[in-house]
Amino acid sequence: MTSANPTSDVNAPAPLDWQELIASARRSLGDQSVEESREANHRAISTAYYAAYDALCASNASVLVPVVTDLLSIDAWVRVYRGSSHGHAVGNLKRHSASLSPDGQDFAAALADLYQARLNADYNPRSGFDRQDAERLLDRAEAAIARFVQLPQTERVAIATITLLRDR
Amino acid sequence: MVIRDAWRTEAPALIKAELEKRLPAECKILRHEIDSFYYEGEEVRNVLLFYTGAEPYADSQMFNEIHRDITLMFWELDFDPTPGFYLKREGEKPA
Repeated sequence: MTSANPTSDVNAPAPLDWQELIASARRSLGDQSVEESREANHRAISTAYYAAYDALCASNASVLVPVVTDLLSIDAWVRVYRGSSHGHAVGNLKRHSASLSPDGQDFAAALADLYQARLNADYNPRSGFDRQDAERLLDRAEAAIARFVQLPQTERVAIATITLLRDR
Repeated sequence: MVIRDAWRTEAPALIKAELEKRLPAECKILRHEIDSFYYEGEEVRNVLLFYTGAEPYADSQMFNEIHRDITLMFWELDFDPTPGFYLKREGEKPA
């Protein structure tokens, strides 16, 4: 049996920084002196959801594959990171939310609300989010993610299994 | 489950009651419209509420807490899919 390859010649996985995603969305909105753009508002809402979902995916990978030392573990980390699907992750977290801590429940509800807002922002031509909506949802995402990443390891492992695996 | 089938009438009433209980009294919810659509075979349930008077998002943190609590209430009541809601000032031109 061969040992796994060392990581010296490969790039370790580097998920996007959720705080920078939120910050970039805020920058895209401009300040109050800039004329409001419906397109920028909708893109910011989409990014607010994506920041939360990406934080979830990165957390799942980090708690299930905590040590990344070689190609095999890098592959495992990336496999977990990519392993969830939006609808299943949001829906199953909702179904199991009663077993989570208040901050875990807050993240589950925020993820679901942000997902719905994102679907409207991206696919509902009747929706018309304004700058206040976008700023409020960015605040929501930021607060919920900040508490989520501070959850105990055991709860984030539980959330990883809930969002990745099918109930049987 | 009856409550799921009746979401078009029950969800707006529940949202309106919670908003009226927790938003400043100067913010009045006038009426609502159902604005749903389908994405990948699942209904995205939207309730659009029209308001007048004070700005409901003035305290965005408080509004976000109300939004979260309404979502959790719908989960407890087994609404599936969970209805979402949006507020628009009465008289604002549609998107």
